[in-house]
Amino acid sequence: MNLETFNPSKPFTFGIELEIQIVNTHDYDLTKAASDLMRLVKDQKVPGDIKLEITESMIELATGICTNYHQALTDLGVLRDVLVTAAEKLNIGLCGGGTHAFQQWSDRQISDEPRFHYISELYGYLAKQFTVFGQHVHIGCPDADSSLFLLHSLSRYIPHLIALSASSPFVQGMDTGFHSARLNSVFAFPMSGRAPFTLAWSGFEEYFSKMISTGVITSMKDFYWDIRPKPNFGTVEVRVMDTPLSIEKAAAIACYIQALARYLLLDKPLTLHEDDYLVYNFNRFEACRFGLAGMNVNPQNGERRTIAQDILITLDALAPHAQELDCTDALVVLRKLVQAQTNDAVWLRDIYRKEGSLHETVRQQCLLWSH
Amino acid sequence: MKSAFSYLPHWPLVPDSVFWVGLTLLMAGLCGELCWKAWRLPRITGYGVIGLLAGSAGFGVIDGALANDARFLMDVALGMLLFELGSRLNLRWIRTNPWLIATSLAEATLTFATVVIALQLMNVSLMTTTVIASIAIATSPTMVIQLKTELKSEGQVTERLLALTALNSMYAVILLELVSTWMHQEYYGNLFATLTEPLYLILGSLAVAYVLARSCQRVNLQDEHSFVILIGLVLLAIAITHMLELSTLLALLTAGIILKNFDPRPQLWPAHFGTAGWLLTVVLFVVTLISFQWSYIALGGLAALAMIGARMLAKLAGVLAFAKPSGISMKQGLALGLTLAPMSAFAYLLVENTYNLYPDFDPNLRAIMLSAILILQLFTPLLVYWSLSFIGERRQ
Repeated sequence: MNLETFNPSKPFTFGIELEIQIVNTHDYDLTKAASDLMRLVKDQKVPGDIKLEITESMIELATGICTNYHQALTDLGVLRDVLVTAAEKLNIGLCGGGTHAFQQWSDRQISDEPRFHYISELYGYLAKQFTVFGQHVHIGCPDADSSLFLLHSLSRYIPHLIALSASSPFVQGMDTGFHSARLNSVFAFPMSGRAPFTLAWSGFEEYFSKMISTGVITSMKDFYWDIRPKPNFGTVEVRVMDTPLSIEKAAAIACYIQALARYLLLDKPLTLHEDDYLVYNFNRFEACRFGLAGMNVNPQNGERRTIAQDILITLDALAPHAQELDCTDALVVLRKLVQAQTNDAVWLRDIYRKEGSLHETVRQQCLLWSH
Repeated sequence: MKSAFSYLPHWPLVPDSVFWVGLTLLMAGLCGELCWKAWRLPRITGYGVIGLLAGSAGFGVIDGALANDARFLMDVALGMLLFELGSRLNLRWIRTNPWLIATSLAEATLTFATVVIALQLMNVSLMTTTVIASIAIATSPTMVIQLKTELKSEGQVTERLLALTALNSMYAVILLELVSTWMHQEYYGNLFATLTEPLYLILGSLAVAYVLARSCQRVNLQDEHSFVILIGLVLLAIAITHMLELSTLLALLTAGIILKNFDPRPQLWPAHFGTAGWLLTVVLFVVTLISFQWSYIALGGLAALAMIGARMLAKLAGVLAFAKPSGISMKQGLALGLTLAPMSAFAYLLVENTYNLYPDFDPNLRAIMLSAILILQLFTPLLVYWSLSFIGERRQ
């Protein structure tokens, strides 16, 4: 099997996918209702679409192709409202967050779809432990080579995106000490991590066919990379974010990536080397563990700054691009968040400290999501 | 006569009631496990069989006096289960999805109407018919909660089963109260007493419910140790309803509903009131069939069958009529309609309460109801198992 051809798309357009949690309204544990929700929403007209995910406690919504912050917000708002209305009819709650605070992975049921059965067969319990909820953002690229350039230059900003979106401090009823514990589950998969360093599409095609011939993978879907190209959409897909607790934050983070893409492709501020990845896992870990207070090492000059400082500097550089893209408001939201150092993980820990109950914490997550 | 050997027991040995209770529980436990492990039958079917054998229809090892003591245990066990059931009824859900209330009213009204017709065709007296039809509205809360816990089932059918059961149990108690005003008038002929009786009973029970729910809200239910306080509160509430001759069933069910709906924060305690609650549930299943006698079958067996058939059809029709608009598929509606069939301790206690107030009431009532309970308690658990498997909601 060959790699699909790269269909160029309009640069800096973007699409957002959000995996959201389905909980009951009794104890707010994950529940089994994805198929019921799908039945209720399938005839509704929405921008983008809504689909089943690997377990029955998860549903994914995706916007159509967006060009700016307000459009993304509107699309997400419509999708959210359609789902929330259906959820109320079924007496279930919906919420964001990268992990469910206290679900037991062994209780999960794999959705009845051939691909999910295959994954469950192959990965065993990892498939059920993969009940984590992420935000994926696709960014349109003019051609195949620039998609690879964008992929590798965006890698430098992965810690920013992790720290901004982090919303998974609790796993199976425990505070993990991490801001994003979700990414630890993703790391268990053999094909996770970073894409191989090549800046020419022909090089990537060669890598892909070698991998196919080893029999380890059968399609692009088998790569669980942090960022991966999506040739048939003509995009690169950034996959490190936890699902934020509100659509406003999800839209703002998507626009941050959009502005970054424009900055990286037009201003070309970086020269890329394989050695940039020497610090990649360290920076990524710092972001997962400490959030905005984590350290970020610049791979080219070894300079160390907190992720928060690094984001504030980046926001300044992005300002003109944000203006061009009509997403300045999104960056204002993020600047406030970074200055106050309050990502969703901090919010969740605050609520838990105040209420002393993870059940109540999840209930408040649902309130945040539906308003 | 004391002698040097009086430390030895008298011969023959006379086992006391603890012995028989212990033996009955042992047999119930073994029979339940046998049902489950060997034949994949629900454990509670096994408990029912042992209750039947231990009682007057079998070896009669548990006599009337012990069965009377067991009434108190049944009240406690059922009270706690109703409290748990009530605390799962989300009134906000009913407000946002009014088709649910339509479903509930349809299945309850149809049940009442078809059972009345069926029993009239069987020549049962009109008053007995209305009492049975009122009780027939209720689905067994015990069985519903026990089976949900045992199967770890979750999903739309399970959720709706819990909600509809809470609602139809409530209708049954209140309707029976209203029917009994008619009996009151017939028996005592005092119009003032007739009019004030249901008012006292319903309002009094609701007042106890309110006080219990508000007290529970002050207890931190997340804390394992406060569980003792919670059980204490529930027992006190049951005792108070006994003292004031109010309805334990109505009070505890409503208390649960108030607890759930006055404060949006999740109010949780160990599901099924933990191991102690589970033991009480077993007792409930055993005791329900202890007072069954084979003569009931001759007297009311046929009418019981007619009632069961009418009731099942009515519940199925009521649910299916509104399945689609209420947001479930016809397949789920079918499963939900069938899972509403169980009848057990709740119905039994309503029958007994009727005889407490009107000791000379038509013996047909007990004969028909106990025959029906026998059949439904032994066979509907399997029906619920199948239905929940059929729509993929059981996990065990």
